Amino acid sequence: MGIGIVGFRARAHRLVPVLRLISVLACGAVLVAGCATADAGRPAGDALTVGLAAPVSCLDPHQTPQTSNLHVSRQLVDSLTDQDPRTGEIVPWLATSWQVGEEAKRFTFTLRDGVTFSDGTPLDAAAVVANLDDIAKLGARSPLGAGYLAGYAGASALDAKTVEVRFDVPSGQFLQATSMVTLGMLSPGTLGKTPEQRCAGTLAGSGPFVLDRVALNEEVRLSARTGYAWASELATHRGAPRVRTLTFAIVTDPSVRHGSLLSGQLDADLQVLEQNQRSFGEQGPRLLSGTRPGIVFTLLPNETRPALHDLSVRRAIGAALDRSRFAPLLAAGERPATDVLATTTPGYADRSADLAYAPDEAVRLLDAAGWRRGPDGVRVKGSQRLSFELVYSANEPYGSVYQLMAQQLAEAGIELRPTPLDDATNSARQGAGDYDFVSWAVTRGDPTVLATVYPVRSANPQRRTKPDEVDSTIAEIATVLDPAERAEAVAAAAEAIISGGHGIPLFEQASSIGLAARVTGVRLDASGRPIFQDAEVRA
Amino acid sequence: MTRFVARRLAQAAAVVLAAYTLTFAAFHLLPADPVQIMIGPQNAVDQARVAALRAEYGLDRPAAERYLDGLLGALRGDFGTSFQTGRDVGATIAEAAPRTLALAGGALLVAIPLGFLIAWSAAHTRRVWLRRLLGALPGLSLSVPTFWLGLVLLQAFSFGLPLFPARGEDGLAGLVLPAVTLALPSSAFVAQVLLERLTVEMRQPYVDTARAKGASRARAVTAHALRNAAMPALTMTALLAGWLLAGSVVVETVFARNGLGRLIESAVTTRDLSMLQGLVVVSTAVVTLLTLAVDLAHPLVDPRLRERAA
Repeated sequence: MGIGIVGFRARAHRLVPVLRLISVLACGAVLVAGCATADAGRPAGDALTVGLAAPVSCLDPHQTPQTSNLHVSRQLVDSLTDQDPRTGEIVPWLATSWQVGEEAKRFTFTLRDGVTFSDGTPLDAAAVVANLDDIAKLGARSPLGAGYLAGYAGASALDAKTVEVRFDVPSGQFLQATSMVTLGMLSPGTLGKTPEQRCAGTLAGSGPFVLDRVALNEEVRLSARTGYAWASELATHRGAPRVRTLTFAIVTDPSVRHGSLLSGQLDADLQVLEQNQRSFGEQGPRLLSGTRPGIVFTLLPNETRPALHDLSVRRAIGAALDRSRFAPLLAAGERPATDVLATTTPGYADRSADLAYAPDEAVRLLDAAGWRRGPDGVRVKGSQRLSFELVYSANEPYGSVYQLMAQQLAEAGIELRPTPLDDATNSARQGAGDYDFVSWAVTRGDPTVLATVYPVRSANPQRRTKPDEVDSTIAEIATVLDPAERAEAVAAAAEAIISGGHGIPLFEQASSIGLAARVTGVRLDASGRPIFQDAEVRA
Repeated sequence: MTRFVARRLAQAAAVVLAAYTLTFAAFHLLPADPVQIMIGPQNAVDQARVAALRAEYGLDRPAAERYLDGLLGALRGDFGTSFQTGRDVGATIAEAAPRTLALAGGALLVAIPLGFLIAWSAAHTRRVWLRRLLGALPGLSLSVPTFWLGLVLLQAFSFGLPLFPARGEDGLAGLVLPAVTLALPSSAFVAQVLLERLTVEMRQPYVDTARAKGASRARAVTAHALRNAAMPALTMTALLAGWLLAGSVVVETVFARNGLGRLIESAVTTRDLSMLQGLVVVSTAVVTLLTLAVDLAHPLVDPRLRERAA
């Protein structure tokens, strides 16, 4: 054995110079090959590569609630309806018309002719029924769908082109929900697979793009559906996509995404940070922003905390905030709130008079409730101090707004401590109710979105326990669809929320994407998702 | 020899088990709710539905039961499916491993020659300022954050000069910048260990003997001191593997490459326990087995150890 090793070693010794040479050559080869291929550039015209800020995990729109997944899924599936992002109006897509029955418990949709899924099966009334039943059956596995189908009693195909959907309770939100990607249509063949298979495997929808390849953590490649001819009314060109391939490149670092867009390696950055927005000018890449409909960014008090249980304290906090001064700190398309809902939400009304900056009123409320300035300027009553912790994810870009709010509240003798946390800790603390304040916005182009945050039976970040007029006024919104009646119902709910201090509206949120100069035709839908069916890349 | 290997294998198994258990324990001690993370902060979901989803994924079962279930599965080589992606953990790791291997291989290809070069030059030079400068290099490059280094390289050689793509596409071009980013601190690691030993070896009488017999300083370093100094560097190889894996977490994130590091990062941030358990077992196994392999390789390099074993 010893001799063998010695022999090997002697040979290995002679090999050393050779190995050295090989390694030098290999290093050189890597560099040369790298330089040679990097110069080639990407072909113009038929391929679009866009930067996605988070990895995709599960592309099944029925199951996933995650933004990055749904951005991709939106290109794969069509919906019964679409929503105009400017007016909030529901317009035809797969359904050419619809009727809503008394009390919004019965919906009848008439489907468009000639629509097929990418696996060849026709999109008929039976397929729509199968989709709605699938989401209902997913239950908890469809956290968003379960909300859209709350009270779902069943659907039936009246004929090949007509679908009737029934609810046990009034469901005024359902019509708008049909425009959401979560209720997008998948082929019956896809629905036959298990939820896990659909997450990991291929999906067939009727959308303008079909799924080619998912490279985990790297990219998702889609190709255009030939013969696609049923885009929504909002598309300027209704036919097949003008780009042949659409690649979602997963680039989690915002500065790398931005640099890649500026250097032409990406055609779009789907999440532009506020600090990078200033570099967009007249020349080069441009910024596309859309105000998100739904609940504006809102300070939500944990009403189980003794000091926040006091209505005067909650109202004083609202009055002590000067929202107009938030403006310079906000991103493109964002502005101080003027209602509990964003301006682009149906039912929105300008309620800025109720949200005005009234420092004297704040002082009066706190004095009257017995909160006196302590030695450090923070008001106290007995052993309690008006000192509150606002917990939020460190990934949120609004830290500077929260700091400004803290300064404004300090003038009224209220201490606000904004506490940025990593996502895991943040989720744990929010889930456990371990906070004084959270700050939320919920995107949805329908006023019933209020039902997800404010009633006792909802996400209920206020931890309220007794239903009151907040719950009843919000429930009322779901029973009406007529714009005038809705406006009235929303006004009552907004009044209950603001006067009860259950939510302190801060500012409207926007989605902003960066687009290379050579890309045209990309639009943002009512949820702020980019739509690439119309997109064109100039050579 | 067989008994030695068997004992070491048993030790390796114990280390892997300990790592597995510690990961599980850490997961339960750190506050986090995987279901809330999955739903995301932008969606307001009814608390009752959140609880139902938690039950759906079995996250409401007692910790001991989940630990034993996971362990029994792992012993059969089945780490289950990822909570986030619904994909098989084993298959996901198998898909990512070659990408990290390519990255680590590329980094070593640069790091080892560079590390040797720095240490060799520092030992060879008689200019004190140069020796001090070279000796300070490893400490300097180890203290540069990899994240920052990657961004600087991207800024210079991808966004500034369009030489390399910013994304880790397949092919050599996409490998260059991430490999160099990972190589620079790794070369410092190699240089530091090697230079320390070389400095000691160069003072040994056998070097004087060699020089007295007419060997040049270069030959004294290369043929005499380096061979003795290389031993500790070899021992560091296994540690270097662990180091490269840790470095890949940052590098793969900055350069948007899939790989083990990227999987570790996302498993931790999304609290994907089965995915992380699989990754921890694979990486500890690799590092412990490499350590064993290096120990077995020592007699091949050092004749003195061979005689002792005989």
